[in-house]
Amino acid sequence: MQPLLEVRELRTHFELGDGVVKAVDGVSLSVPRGRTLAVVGESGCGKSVTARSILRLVERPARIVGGQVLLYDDVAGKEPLDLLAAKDKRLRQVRWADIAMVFQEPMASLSLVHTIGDQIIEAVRLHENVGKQAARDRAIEMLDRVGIPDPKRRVDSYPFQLSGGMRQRAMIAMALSCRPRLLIADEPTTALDVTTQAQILDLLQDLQQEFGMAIMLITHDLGVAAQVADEVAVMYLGEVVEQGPASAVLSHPKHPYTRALVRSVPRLGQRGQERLVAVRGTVPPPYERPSGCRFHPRCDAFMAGKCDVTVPTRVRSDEIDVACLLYGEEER
Amino acid sequence: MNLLETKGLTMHFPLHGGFLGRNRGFVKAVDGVDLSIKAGRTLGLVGESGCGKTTLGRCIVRAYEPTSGSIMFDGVDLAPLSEKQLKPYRAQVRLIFQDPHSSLDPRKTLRDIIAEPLRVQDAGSRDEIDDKVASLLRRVGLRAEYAHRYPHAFSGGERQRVVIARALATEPRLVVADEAVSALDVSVRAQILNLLRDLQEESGLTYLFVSHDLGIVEHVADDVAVMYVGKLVESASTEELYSKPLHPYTEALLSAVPDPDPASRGQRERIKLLGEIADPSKVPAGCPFHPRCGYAEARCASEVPQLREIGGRKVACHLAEQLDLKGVLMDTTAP
Repeated sequence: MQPLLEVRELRTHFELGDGVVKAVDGVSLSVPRGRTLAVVGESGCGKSVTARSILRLVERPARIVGGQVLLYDDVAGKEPLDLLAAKDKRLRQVRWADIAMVFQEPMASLSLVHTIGDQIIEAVRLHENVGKQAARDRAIEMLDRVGIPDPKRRVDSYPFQLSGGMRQRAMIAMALSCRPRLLIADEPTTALDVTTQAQILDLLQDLQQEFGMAIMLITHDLGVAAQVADEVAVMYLGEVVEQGPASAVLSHPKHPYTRALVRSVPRLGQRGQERLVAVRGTVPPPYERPSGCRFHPRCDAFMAGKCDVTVPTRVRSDEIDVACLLYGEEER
Repeated sequence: MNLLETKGLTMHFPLHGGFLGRNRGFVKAVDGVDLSIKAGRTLGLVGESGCGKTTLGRCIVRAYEPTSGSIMFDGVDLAPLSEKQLKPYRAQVRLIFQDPHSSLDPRKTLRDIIAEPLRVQDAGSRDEIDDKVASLLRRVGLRAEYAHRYPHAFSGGERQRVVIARALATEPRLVVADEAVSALDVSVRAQILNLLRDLQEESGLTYLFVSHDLGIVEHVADDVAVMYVGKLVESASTEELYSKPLHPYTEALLSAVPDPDPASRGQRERIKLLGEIADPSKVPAGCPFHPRCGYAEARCASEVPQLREIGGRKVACHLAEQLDLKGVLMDTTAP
């Protein structure tokens, strides 16, 4: 089936005085329609920059230097829209109406001097030809839908009057007010407590069922990915090293990095395991990308003369697309 | 034997505001906490933000002067001691902070950072201190040559190793680790958790491990205490608490932890808590958890439950005997 969104060879670089940081360097991934893709990886792997690049929300010194972001139409057979090549005006229509975004820290993305109601009304009226009252009714309806108590009164609240969990709900209400086809959620629950996190994740899943939108969830937490994702893409140093169904990637990962990552997380209810298996070493500094496979200096399956020379291309192994020289010998 | 025992430990912060900044009540950050840690063991202290777990940790290292209550450390009550009287204990009780980026002075070399507590404690000549720093760096898995570099040259995990080396410099007996691995990435986090465990085995350290992450606490702690709005609601051995919680709040917390195994999806029942964590300046009457509790009865809204002992564990819930609460599955068949 045709995906909703396809990212091909995306490259976003930070051009700094000391050199170029290749934060996103050839990312390819696809978001299936009406389903949830979790993009996981550690800090600095480029997952947030990838998300922002999709909507061209990157600012200097970051610059998108290559690739395609294809948004497919609901009608099969129609040419997809390349968001990276689209005119600014067209892109503004896509934001909110087709693709909306929720960030980790709602306080940084909500205006402090406007009520949450006014902010939702503005978004709705920018994209749809509706009156003030109708937009306000929509705002109240959305606030109610995301579980904010007493929405008729809360619609006139300022963000600082809400708790962290409520702000994130308001943010989601705003993002979904124009019924987007894709919601990009960048670490939406990282700043929240576990019980609030569970509420927000449940809410996102309920809303997905109701509105049928796709979700691209950026997270560093494998537990969160395991509980909500249909598909998982694993990133390391600006590349997707593995993408496939969540059950396959998280239970039987192919890439040595994913394997190490999965083993390094303690699992609830399995006490007694003496030591965690840690990934060796640390993420290399941003200006020094290793040659060949970027994970090779930390890899347990390192093959000298191969991994440090050849850049692995993606091959399909079982249901998983993986970029590692251990797989698909015959294809090369 | 208990190395540390708090009795009725209380920390209230006055709230100022309004006309002439008069007192408008108190934030009851820590409210009558009884807690004990056995020597050489690890006590996990869990709870959500605002529950007072950090304040409790800071009272124990005496960064705060508690409002009331006692902190018995090896037979001495630290709570009423003056700064001067505290000096010998400052070496024995140390704190590891959460964020390794802000807890290291960027203008000091690793040597000066690690030697700082030694200098305060007058621990010998320059050469002796240099040797000490070198051996501390090696103990935490860093190279001794790094002593003359500055923190900016190191990654988050390496900096946290430096923070740990500094905490160990005075050969403490009790280390309060406040969200010590929360700011680290998963792959590095496992390295630091393993290091903490090795150090405990080598030198019999006792840890108070403060964390919001129940998955990690299960892995590191021998015993666990759960806090809710300034009060201890339950404490037990890790195994008992995770397999069979006695307090509804513990049950809800455990059910909310996302399991990294996708096969578990939909198998565990998630308990939906009503509303949000209570404001510690306006604690609800009766049991502080009752407005969010699915099992609450009439008396929960009026009578404050005391922490009491049931079968060797402690719980503050009126209904503890009647409820049959669910823990997280213990896979005893796994090797």
